[in-house]
Amino acid sequence: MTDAATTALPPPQSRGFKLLGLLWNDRFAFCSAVFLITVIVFAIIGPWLLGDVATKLNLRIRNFPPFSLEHGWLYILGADSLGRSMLARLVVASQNTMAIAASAVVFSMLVGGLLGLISGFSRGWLGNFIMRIADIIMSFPSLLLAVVVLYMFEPGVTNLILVLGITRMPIYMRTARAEVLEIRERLFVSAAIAMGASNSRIIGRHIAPIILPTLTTIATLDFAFVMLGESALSFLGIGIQPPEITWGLMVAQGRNYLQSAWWLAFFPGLFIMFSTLSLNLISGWVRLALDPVQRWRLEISGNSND
Amino acid sequence: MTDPIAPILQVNNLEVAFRTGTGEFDAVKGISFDLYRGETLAILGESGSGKSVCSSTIMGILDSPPGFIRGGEALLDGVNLFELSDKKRRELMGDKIAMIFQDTLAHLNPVYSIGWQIAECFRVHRGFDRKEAWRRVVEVLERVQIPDAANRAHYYPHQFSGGQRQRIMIAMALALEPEILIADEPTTALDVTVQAQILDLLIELRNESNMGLIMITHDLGVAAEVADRLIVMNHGEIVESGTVHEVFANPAHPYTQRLMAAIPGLGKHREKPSTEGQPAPKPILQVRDLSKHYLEPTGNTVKACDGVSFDLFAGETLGIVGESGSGKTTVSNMLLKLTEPSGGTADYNGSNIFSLEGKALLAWRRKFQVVFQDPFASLNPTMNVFNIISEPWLIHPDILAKQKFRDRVAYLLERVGLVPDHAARFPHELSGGQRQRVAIARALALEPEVIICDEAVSALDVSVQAQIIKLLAELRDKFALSYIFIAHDLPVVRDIADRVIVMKSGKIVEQGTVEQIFDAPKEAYTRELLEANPIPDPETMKHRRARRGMAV
Repeated sequence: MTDAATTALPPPQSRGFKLLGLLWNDRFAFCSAVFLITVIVFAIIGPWLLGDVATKLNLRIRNFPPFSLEHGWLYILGADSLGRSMLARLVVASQNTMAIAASAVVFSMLVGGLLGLISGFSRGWLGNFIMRIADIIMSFPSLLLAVVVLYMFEPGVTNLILVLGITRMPIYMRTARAEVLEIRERLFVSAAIAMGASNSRIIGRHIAPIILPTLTTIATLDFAFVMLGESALSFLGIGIQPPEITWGLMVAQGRNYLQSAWWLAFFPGLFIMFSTLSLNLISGWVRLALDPVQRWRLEISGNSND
Repeated sequence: MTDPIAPILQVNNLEVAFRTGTGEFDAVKGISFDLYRGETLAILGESGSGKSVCSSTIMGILDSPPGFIRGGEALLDGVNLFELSDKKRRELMGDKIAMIFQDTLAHLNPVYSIGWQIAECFRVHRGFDRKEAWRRVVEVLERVQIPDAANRAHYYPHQFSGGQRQRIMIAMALALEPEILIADEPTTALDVTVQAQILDLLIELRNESNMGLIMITHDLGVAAEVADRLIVMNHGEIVESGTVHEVFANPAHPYTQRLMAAIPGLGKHREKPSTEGQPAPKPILQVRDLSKHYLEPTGNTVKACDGVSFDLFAGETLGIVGESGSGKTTVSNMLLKLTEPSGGTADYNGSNIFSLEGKALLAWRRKFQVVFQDPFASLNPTMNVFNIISEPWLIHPDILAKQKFRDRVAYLLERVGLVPDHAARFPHELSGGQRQRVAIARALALEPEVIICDEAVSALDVSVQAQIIKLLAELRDKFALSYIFIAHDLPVVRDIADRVIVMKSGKIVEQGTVEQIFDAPKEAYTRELLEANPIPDPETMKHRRARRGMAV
């Protein structure tokens, strides 16, 4: 054991550089990171770059099939039912899609996780009260809730994010609470209490870092769910309103043309799938890289690659 | 059954290795031994010595990959086990060789009744019908002395105590009347009195059925009690072997000698500094009538701790001994204010610690620190050693300025026998003993007056245990600490304590100086505890066994 520990001492390196090295070692995670960074870059500069093209109608090339350069590289992925460039629309839609999904997921993870932490840590009525809220949210059909709320209030981006975030909260609340209940009985928490640590220090320093990897894993899985939820609402006309577009909305709109022009729904669907897949792979990598006990797995695969 | 004098199991030049990220690690490096009918062979070694790998390999339950057998053979009645087909091998396992383990809860299936699980052996290996299998189950349970076996066979594992579960494991192992029984640390998780009963049972069963018993243990006392012959393993090699009398009387190898020297409870009692000419010391902590009652859902009140009173003086070590369920940890948790007491007081400097709040509570927490049993669980796995040791100073910012943290951590690490470089490590990169040293350094960081050691050395190997005890004694004298030393292991307490409290079922049975308790115990229960504790001396154990009415 002692011998193993001495050899495992890492060479002095800056933290960021070391993490990059670990990322390079895991090729799948590396590709995912590249894909996600590309999507994010397009989400930021896409509308500015291709905003005009994406709204330009050209009825002569309605449902123009993909993989042909006849009308220029913008139409390589085909054109939609009004003859707009699929590629441009996909790039422009990435902004709304990412903004809504990421905000909703981050919102539900932070709020849900925090409520779960509090409810797990406080004995008595507060913990129970929070869990009953989670039960109520879960027992109410989430789409119905969204419909009611968005019907009553203005169907805008902010409300959409709030509704999607709140309906996805219970899963974080329950997971966080269950983990807290287990972790707070561990000896290092007892030791911290014996040192005089405050509740916020115990939650923040000892409990939260241990449940965070679980919550991020759930969050990446939830990302796809939120994208689809958003598209369902947009389809019903109470989410994103055309001419604004998202990938989900594109899938929904392309549904009618599945037999005549499959690419209308296929490409946005493919992007949703690749985003989710990349997020999953990245989250697996992050979980290992952040856990000092597991990090060696990434380091070992590096050695075998050399 | 050809030749009664031939060994039933011959292990020749067994080599087992594990593939790891950095290459191959040799766990067992060419060991050989024989096992004869009706004898007990003890394999003694500390953690990492390869003793369990060796037995798993013989049983065919080695984790493979990453483990693999590099060479050697294991001959059972002349047949090499490693060359058999998987199917043949499975038929032999359980039938000819059986094994019992330390952790009974993990090795019994919680969703089947124990009778069903034992009956499974008969169905699989013997093809008995349900009725016949069940009759055998009751028979074998009676053989391991489970009371009311016919009814209790319907019970589930969690409804039995630890000792009874180990009996059930033994019953399961003996169901098919194997020729060899391998017992891997069978009594390590049990109380001493239960341990004595289980060891008696194993010896009795061995004599009855004339089987060979391999006893794998880290406990020299257990080895001395049951073994005929002894193998001492270290780093995958046999460093010494011989009859138990030879090895204990004249250990030849330096490792064995070191191991024997590390045995707790054999030296002199601690010399107390002379108090003559000084005024009678005042206790720093006075505990009166401390109690903790739990209300069970059935309406019964469980008294985990009942009317416990004692004093703690400056610079002394107070041992609290007792078996599991005696309430010793409850006492420590109440003094640490991890659980609320149901009644009683604890006076520290004229104020009752149970009514402290806010600033006063924080100030008191500084004076009272704790070292827990399990160094794997008591350190946060996501923090490195520097953050672990410096955390107390973040909680009590008046102790130390932030820029001095690094020097002070280095100082503390050196005090507990580590080097400043360890500050960058994470807990999983340290060995058990090193982790416990970190936990001690963390407790020292607040410059406390009292440290509660809750089974602080129980999870450690004998030689490491001896080092930690020595360290604790040095620190006590250097920093004028008082210890409340909670343990189930009597010899360890004998080595370090000045006064001892014996607890049973939440009550104090006896308290006195270490000489009074160990040399002239008054209460029957104290005597029983001392008697059940295995002593690493084969002669003494032989006499004891004879007194208990056992044939040896």
